[in-house]
Amino acid sequence: MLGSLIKKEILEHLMSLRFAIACVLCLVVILCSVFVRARDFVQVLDDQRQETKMANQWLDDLREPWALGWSGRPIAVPRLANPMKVFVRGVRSDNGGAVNVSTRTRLEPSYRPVSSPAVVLFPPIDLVTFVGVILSLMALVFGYDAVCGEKERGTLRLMLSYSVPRRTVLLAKWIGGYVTLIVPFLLAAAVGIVVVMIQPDVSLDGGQWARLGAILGLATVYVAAVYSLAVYVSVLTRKAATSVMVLLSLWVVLVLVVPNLAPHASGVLHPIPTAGEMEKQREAARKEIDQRTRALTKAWDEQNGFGDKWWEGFPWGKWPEMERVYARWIFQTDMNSKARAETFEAWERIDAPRRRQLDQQVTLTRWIGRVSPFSCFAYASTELADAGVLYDRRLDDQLRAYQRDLTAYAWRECLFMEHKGLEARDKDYPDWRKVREAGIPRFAYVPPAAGDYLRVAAIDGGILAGMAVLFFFLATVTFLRYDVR
Amino acid sequence: MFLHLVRKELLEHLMSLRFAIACVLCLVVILCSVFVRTQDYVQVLEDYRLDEQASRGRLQSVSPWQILWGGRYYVPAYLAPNPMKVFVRGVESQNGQAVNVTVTEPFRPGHTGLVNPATVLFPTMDLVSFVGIILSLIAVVFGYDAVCGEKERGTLRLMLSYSVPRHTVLLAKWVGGGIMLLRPVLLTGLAGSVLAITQREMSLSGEQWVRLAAVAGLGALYITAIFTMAMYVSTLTRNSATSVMLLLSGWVVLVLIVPNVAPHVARMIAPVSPAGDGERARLAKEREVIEKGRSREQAIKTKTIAAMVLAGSNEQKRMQAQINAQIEMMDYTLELYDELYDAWDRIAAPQRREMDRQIALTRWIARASPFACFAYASSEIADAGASHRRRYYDQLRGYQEDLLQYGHDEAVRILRRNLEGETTARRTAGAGPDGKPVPAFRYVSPAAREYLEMAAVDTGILAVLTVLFFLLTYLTFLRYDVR
Repeated sequence: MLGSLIKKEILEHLMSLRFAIACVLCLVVILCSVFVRARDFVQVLDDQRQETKMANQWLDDLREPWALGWSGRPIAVPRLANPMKVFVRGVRSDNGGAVNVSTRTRLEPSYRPVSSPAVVLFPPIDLVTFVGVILSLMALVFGYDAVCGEKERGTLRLMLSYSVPRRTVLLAKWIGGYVTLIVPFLLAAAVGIVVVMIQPDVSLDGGQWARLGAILGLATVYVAAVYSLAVYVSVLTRKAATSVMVLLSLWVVLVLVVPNLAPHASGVLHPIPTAGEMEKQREAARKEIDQRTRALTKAWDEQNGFGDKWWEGFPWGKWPEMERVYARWIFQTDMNSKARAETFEAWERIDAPRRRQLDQQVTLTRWIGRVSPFSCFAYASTELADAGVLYDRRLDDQLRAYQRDLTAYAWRECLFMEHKGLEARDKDYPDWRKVREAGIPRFAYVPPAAGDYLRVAAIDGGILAGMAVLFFFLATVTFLRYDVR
Repeated sequence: MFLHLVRKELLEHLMSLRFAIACVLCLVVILCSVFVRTQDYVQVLEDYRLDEQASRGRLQSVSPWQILWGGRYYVPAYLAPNPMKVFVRGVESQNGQAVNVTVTEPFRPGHTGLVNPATVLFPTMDLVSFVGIILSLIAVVFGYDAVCGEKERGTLRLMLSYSVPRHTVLLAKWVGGGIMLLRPVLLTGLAGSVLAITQREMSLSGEQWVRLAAVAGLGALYITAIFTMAMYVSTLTRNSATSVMLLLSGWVVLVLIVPNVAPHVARMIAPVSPAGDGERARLAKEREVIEKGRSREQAIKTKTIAAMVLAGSNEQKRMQAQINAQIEMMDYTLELYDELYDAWDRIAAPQRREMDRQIALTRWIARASPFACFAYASSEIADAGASHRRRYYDQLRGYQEDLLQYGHDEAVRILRRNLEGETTARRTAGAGPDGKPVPAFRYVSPAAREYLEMAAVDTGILAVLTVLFFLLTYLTFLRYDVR
């Protein structure tokens, strides 16, 4: 009996206008979206290869370490273009790009050319937005009249006059409606993936395929939760017009309002100091350390007979007088090396409480946002695509560690070269590239282990599955007492 | 008769669930959005004031030589937060901005600091998103069964059995539905405005109020267009289930898909050359200018040495020769930078033209969607659109030239004072009785007329859409089978 009922539901949906519209929308939007985003990715990858080549060339050609240490010339560290972002936009609208890492200043995004402002006003639709917004609306349209619509047409009364349990009728309705909705989506997604894969330079590794599969799995659970909600509201109401009205309002609240308000609600509940305040503290710390360094240098100068404007009239290039200058340079380099390390430590100390508070705020945002199934789906998908909040945090931590390593390396090498200069005396400095003990450290992003991704997405996946089961259970309980007249 | 029919429509809507839901949604979302965005604005304004004050203090101890030859030394150019962005987010998600301007490089945006990344994943809802997305959906819900719903219930047949012309019935439905749709919007919009201005530090000038009213008027026009479209679909269909299905699909396409797809289509039709080529040309020109500068510097040095040799042991004349050489070098630096800036502009011009063409094409493609018309026009009226960004960058470019001229003039002034024998004059920019402080960047907004010109096309399209849909509805309704 269940099979026959499911078949009836599927046939009914297949012949309806809504199914045709769902098919066209899924196919057109998913194909357009992945095609455009895959082309963007290829362009970004191309740009990034050139930029990385130029940056590596610059590092390879560097003949002395002072450009890194004393001048603090920034190294553009590329953020690797992520092919998963073809499907999931994530918390950063751009893919790739670079971060400037200097031994003197804070991390800052590298200069990017100005893009069309229309893209900012209307961000491109990715798979998450399509499923979260458009497919969820389709789920409501598929389910809003599942029960009350049949009641209005009088066919529900007829059906229940046969010896068929109510729970079987509802289960068949759920399965029939859900299958007709999810199959066109999965087919369109499969075609979209094929379109992406035939683009040059786009390839996913085994782990990324598994994560893409997990995102699609999550999408099916999300659609199941929304569809169950639609069926539940349909059982709660007596007219399809009322049901569609209630569902559209719920959709607006759950898909558009709650995810947008959650960050602000958490901002009010758990405020954090503004970036401006932190910047002032950092600037004050830097000034204090710099002043202390200058005072120590001045004291050293006085002890060693270097007065004001000592360089005027100094016998430059004459030895052994030059030994004194080298001793001064070595002292200065050593002092600066310590000052820079101390500055970064001070900045870390200042940033740490705010970063902790920001983490707490982000966690609170996620928990408030979890009232909305769309938030659960979006957060979990972005994390699975390595394009979410945790990725941002992980990258920032790794870049900070790299900056500390680079700073220590640059100043160590400056000191090393000062000693080499002293040894060489009136000969030229040796070529740093030939004498240095180790090459310039390069940054490599370390992604988390596969288990970490699953752990992060497990809560949201669980909540979505729980919502699907709960709404269906509530629908069943309500339907058992439903007045079919 | 017409008024009776309007009254009937008003009462019907008033007692419906959709009206209650519209009221609650308008009240909750508009008030929350305005409150949150006002708080953000106040915070941004406070930060901006503190930063600008600190920057002014820092600039008091800068020397003109640092401005001219300081390499990565920059002067922050602050864009004051725009109170209109409380209502209209525009093309930049942040309000207010600091751009680091140096005379030696094209300007680069400043660091924005840590923000909650969830706000990037789900951008804050402003008045434009609310009206454009949520309210348009409510307009669809208000209009989808206007005609076919009455037909299904049998009341349309009854109504038309009386001696009432069809156009009167249709007009009454349109007026009644429109009033009931706009009423909660206008009332809560008003409440939102009151809430915003009661917040400390939040104030709009008279001209900004007028522009806000223009945005509200545009919102009303947009909603009317969508409501009229809903009524049209309602007269095209015979049952409300089909009508709602068609309208929701149309809504998804017009509100969610077309505006998002338009930039990408425009990018394929009118691509912009990659930035890398321009960047390489810029760097090559810079190297050429540096080489030129070096050879000129060498020539000036040789001339100065000759002058110093001629001066013999006369310290006064030796110093004069040195200072004259420095002034000559300053003048030459100015010339070189002028040449460099011209080259930057020349190199950037084709890309800028291409980008302008792409933006214009995007707007024309997106105009297939009433939401895009409304969003573009509102952003321009709020001075937060694409034209604002272009104007801001152009003014920053002008500021960079002002800064260069200032650095040159101040350095020459100090050197002349040294030449006049005032050797103790401080070498700080702006020091001394005739010194001028470092110029601050001030963004100049366009004239009121320009805002109207920028929004005219989109407003016209929305008005035409409304009239067109109403005419189509009227023509279809005249032949509508009410049985």
